Amino acid sequence: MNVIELKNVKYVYKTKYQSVEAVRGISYAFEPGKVYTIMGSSGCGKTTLLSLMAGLDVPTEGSVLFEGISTADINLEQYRRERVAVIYQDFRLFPLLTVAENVMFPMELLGMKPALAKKRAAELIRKVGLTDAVLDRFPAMLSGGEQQRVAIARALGMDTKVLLADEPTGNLDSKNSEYLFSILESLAHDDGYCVIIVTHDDALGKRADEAIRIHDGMLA
Amino acid sequence: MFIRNGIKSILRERGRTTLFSLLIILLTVTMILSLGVLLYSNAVMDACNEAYRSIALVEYMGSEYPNADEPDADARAAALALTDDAILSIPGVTAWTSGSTEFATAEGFSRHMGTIPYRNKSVIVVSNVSDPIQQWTKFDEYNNPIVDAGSITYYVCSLKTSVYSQKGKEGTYIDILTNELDFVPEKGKSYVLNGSFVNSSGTLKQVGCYPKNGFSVFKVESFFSTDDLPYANYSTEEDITDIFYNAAEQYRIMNNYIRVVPCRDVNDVNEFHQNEIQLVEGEMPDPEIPYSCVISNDLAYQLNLKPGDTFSMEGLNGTTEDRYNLTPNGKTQSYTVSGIAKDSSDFSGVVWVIAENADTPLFGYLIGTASLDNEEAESAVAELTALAPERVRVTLLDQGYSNSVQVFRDVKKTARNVLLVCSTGIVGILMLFAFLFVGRQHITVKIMVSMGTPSRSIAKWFLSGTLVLCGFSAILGTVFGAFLQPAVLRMIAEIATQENEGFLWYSETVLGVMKQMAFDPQIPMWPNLLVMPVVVVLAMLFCLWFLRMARQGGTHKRGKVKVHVPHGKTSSLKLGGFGFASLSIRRGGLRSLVVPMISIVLTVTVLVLGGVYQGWQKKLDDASENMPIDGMVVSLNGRQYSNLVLTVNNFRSLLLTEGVENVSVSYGYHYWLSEDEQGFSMGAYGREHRLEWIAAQPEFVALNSLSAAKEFYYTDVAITWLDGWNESALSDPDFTPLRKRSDKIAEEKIIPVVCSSVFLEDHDMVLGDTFSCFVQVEHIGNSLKEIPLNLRVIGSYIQQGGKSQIFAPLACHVPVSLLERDADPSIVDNWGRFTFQSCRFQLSSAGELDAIRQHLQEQGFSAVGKTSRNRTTLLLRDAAYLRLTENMERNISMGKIMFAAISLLIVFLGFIISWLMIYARRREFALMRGFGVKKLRVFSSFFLEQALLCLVGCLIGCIMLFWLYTDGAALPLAVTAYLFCYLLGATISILIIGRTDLMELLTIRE
Repeated sequence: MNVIELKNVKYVYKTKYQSVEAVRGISYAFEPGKVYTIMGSSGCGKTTLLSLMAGLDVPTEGSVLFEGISTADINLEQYRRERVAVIYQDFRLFPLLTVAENVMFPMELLGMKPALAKKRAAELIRKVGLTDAVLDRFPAMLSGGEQQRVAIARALGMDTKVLLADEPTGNLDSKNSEYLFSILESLAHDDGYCVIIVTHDDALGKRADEAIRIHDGMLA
Repeated sequence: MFIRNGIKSILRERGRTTLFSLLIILLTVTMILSLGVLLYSNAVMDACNEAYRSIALVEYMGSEYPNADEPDADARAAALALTDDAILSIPGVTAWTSGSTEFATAEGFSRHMGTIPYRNKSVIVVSNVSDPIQQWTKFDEYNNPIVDAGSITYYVCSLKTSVYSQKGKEGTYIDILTNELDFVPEKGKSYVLNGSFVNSSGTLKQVGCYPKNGFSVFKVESFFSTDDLPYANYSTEEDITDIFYNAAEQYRIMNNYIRVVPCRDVNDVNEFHQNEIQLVEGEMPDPEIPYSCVISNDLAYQLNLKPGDTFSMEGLNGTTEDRYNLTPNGKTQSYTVSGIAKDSSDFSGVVWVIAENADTPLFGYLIGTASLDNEEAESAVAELTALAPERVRVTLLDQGYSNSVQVFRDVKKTARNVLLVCSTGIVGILMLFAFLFVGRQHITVKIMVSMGTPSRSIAKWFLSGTLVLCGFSAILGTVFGAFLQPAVLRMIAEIATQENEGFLWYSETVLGVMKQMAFDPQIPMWPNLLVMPVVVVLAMLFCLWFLRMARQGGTHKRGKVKVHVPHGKTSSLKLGGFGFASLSIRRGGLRSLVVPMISIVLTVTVLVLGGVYQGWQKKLDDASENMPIDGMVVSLNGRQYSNLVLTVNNFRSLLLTEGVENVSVSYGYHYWLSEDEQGFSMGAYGREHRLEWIAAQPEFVALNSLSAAKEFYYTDVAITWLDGWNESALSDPDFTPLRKRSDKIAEEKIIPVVCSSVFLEDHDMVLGDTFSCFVQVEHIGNSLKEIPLNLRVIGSYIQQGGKSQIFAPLACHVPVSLLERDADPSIVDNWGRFTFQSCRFQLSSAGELDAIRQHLQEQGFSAVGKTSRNRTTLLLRDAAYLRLTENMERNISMGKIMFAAISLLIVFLGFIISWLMIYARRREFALMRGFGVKKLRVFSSFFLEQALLCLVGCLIGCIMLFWLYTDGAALPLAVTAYLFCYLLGATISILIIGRTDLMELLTIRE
C-alpha cells in the first residue's frame, strides 16, 4: 500500500510582481520499506515537492495523499507532528538544547514522559551510531556528521513511517555521507520506513530503491 | 516541556542573560526610586500647599506711611484705580479683600486697650471752684517771673461726678484751664463742663505750661458737633442738659468702637497670616458662611461670648477725614462667633468677619490683601505689580512656601526626567531582549514549526523564558528598590531641611514669617508594585510581537534581487590599507553612510547641549556682573521705613562692608517760612501750639543723593535742574551742619536746594530764586533751636502727594567726609552720636551677594524678621536677581548633568558602534586573513575606514554648529572623547578579532 501518493501536484509561488510555477503536475506513489531519491538540477522543484510532502503547505492544484487522505483535508500541524519526519541539510538542531533534549523534543511533544523520553533518546542515539557521551553535549560541540545523525535520531523519535530528507549529505564528507545513507537504508529496509531523499548526489541516486528525476517542475 | 526548554534556552545564554538581568534590575530599581521620589515630592508639595498660605499686601507708599489712620487722598485714588475685577482676573489671585474697615458698637463693650481716639474727652461736674490762680511760665536767675514770657491762669476745684470720662477721678481735686474761652468760673460754684483731661509732660510743666500743684488738669473745650457753650452752672442733675449728655454719649461711642474687618478668609488677614495674633478658642470661620467671625478676647470676655454664640452690633459711620468721628448709622447686623483671638493691645475690640469688602473710605495705606494660590503666587505678584499705579508696593508673604517647596520642585523634576529616561530605557532594553531572545531565534521557530509544534506551545517556549528572566529581574529590582527607597527619601528630606536652614539673610524674598514645617508624608506602596507587572507584560508583548515576526520571517520571499555592479577599478590587491579603506567606503553603500550620520547626530547633540548650557552660564555671569541690587535700611518687618534711626557708627560699619557702594543717607529737619507762620500767642498755649505746628511742617532733608529721599523710593528721580546745577551739589562739603549754626543770623553762603513743584507754585517762585526759612534743630539735652537759612532753588521735582520736602546738601547735617571709607577717626568720634533717618546703598556686584550677606551678618545687622546684635535692619532688593539666578542655576546644573551624562553615553555609543561595525565584518576580516593579507594591513584597512567615516561625521557636525561654540574646553573635549572612543572601540574590536582563531572565524555564517 502507498504511504504517500502525489496526484498531479502543482505548486505556484506567488509574489507581488510575478508567479513562479515550481511544481507542474507531478504524480507518483511512495511505498513503505523503500528508499527514494528525488534528483534534479537546482531550482527544478524538488525541495518544494518535499515541503509539500512534509505538510509545510498544500499544493496549488492536485493533491498529496497520505495513506489515501489528502493533506488538504487534515490538520497539517498534527500531520507534521505525528506522520512525517524531516531532516535537513543544515541539521536544524536547537542550539541551546543538549543532544538528549533535542532528541527528546518530538517525543515529549507527543506526550511522552521526560524520563521515558530520555531513555528512548539514548537508544536512538546509539541506533544512529553515536555514544551516550554526546547526550549532554550541545549541537555546536559536534561535527557535521554527528549533528546530522542527531537530527536522524530526533526524526526517529517522532515514531512516524515516513522520513523525508532534504539534502541530508550536503554538508557531509563522503565517509559520513556513506554512513548516513546506510542508516537511512537500514531504516527503510529493516524498519519499514518510507525514506524519501532529495539530493544532488548521483551515487545516492544509484543506491536508492527508486530514483525520481525532476526537470523544470515535472518528472523527467 | 516547552516551559522547561524555554527557560533552559534563556538560562544557557549566560552572558546575555546576566547582562539583561542586570540591566532590568538596575532600571527597575531606578524606576522605583524615581517613582517613589516623585510621589514623595508630590506628597510634600501637597502638604506644603495645605500648610502654607500666600498673600500679597498691596500698599500705597505715601508720605505718612504706615499711619493706619491717615486719610491720604493719593492712597484712595490708587485704591480706586485697582478694581476688584482687574485684580481677580489675574491668574493665581483667589480672593481680594480691600483694606477698608468698618466700625460698630456693641452694648456692654468698653475699650481699654489700643487706639482710644478721644480718651481724654470728658463731660464732668465740678464743685467748689477756687479763685483764679496765676502762674508765670518763666523765671530769671533771681527766681523773679519774666513777665514777657507770659503766664497761665487756672482754677482748683473738686470733681463731683463724671457724666463721661475714662479717667475715673471722681472726688479728687483737679485744676481747670478755661483755655481761651470767655469763661470765668466763680469761686465756690459748681459747673458742668465739656473738655478733656490734659496729658502734661514733666518738661512742659517745668517750663510752666501747666499747673505745677500735681492735680489732674482739665481743659474746657468746645463741643464737636455744636456751637453751644461747653460749660454751664450746675445745681441739680437737671442742669446737665441734653447737649452735655449727647456729647458724653458721642465720646462713649467713639472711644468704645469695635473695628470690623471684613475679609474673604480670616486665615489670609495679614495679622493672622503673619502670626501676629492667634486663635485661643474655637476655629477659623468657614469662608462660605457669611458673618461668621473671629473676635478678640476682650470682646468675648466683656460680652460673655463663646464660639457658636451670636451677637449683634450697630454700625458706625466716620467722616472721610476722621475715621473715629463716629456716629451710629442705624444698621444692625448679627454675627456668629467661630473663634476667639488672643489678647493684644494692637488687636483689641476687633471682629474679623466673613463679609463683602467694606463700603467705607480708605484710611491708612493698606489698599488690600490678595489671597493667592501658592503655586502661582510669584507670577500673580508680578502681574499685580504691573497692574498697580505708581508708588503702590506689592509684597508677597508666602510663609516660606516657595523656599520649602523649591527643593522638592527640583527633585520632582529630576525624578520625572529620570523616570522618563528609565521608562524609555526599559522599553528599549525589553525590545532588544525580545529581538535577541525571540526575534533572532527564527531557526528554533522554524524547527518547531516543521515538526508541527502548535503555536501556543511555541509561544509557551519563549514566554516562559521571558517570564522567568524579566519577572525575576523585575521582582529583584522591586525588592531592592523598595529596600533603598526609604533611605533615598530620608536623604532628600535631609537635603531639603539643610536647604531651608540656609536662610536668605537680608533678602526681600524672605519678608514675613517663615513657617518651619516638618513633613513626613507616607507614600503608597502600590505604585512600586505596578512596575514589576508592567515590565513583565511589556516584555511578553514584545516577545509575542517578535515571535510573530520570527514566524513570518521563516519563509524567504523569492523574486528578482537587484544587484548593484560597481564601476571602475575593483582590484584591491595593489592598494595599501588606506586604498582598501577608501574603496570599502566607496563601495560600502548604506554602510558607509551609517557611521558619518551617527557621528553627525552625536556631535550635534553634544554641541547643542553644551552650547545651550554654556549660553545659560554666560547669561548668569552677565547678570552677576551687571545686575544692580539695591539695599536699604528698614524696620524689622521690612515693609516700613518710617521713623528709622541709623547711627553714624552703624552707618560706618555698613559703609566699610566690602562690596557696598553708592551709600546715600538723609536726615530731615522741619522747616517753615516765616510768611507761612500763623500768629501764635505769646503764652504757654501759643508756644505749645507752635511746636505742634512746626512738628507738622514738611522737612528740610539733608542728603547726599536724591535716591535716599523717601519720595523716590518707589518712583524714579526726575528733577528739573537750574542750568549749571546737578545732583553733585548735594555732595558739596562746604556747609556748616545746622546744629553747629547760630540761631541768630543766617550764614552768608546760600544753600542750594531742590524744592517740589507745589512748593514753588504756592510761594510764587521759580528755579534760581532765593528765599529764607527756619528749621528746628534739636540740641543735645533735647532743647530746640530755630536756625535761619538762606536757600536757593536749583531744582524742582513733581510732588506726588504728601508734604513739600526740600532737599539740601548732606553737609547741612553732618560733614560729608563721614561718608568716606578712610574718614578721620576723630571726625567719626565727634559725630558718632548723630543719626540718619534713611539709608540706601548698592552692591558693587550681584555675584558677591552671598559674601556681602555673610559680612553683614557678621557685623550683627538685623535681617527682616530676625533681630541681631545690631538692631539696624537691612533689606536687599534682590528678588529679581534671585529669581533669575535660581532659574538659571537650575537650568545650568541640569544642563551640566545632562551634558556629562549625554557625553558619557555618546562616548560609550561611539565605542559600541565602532565595535559592532567591525564585529559584523569579522568574516570579511577572516577572508582577508585567509588570503594571506598581513595583519597590519588588515588592521589599517579596517581602522582607517572607520577613522575616516567617523572623522568626516564629526567635522560636518562641528561645521554645522561652529557658531554655538563660545569658549571653554568642554565641547571640544566631548567631541574628541567621542572620536577617541570610537577609534578605541574599532582598535579593540580589530585586535580581538585578530586574536580569534581563523578557522573559527571562517565557520561564521553571514
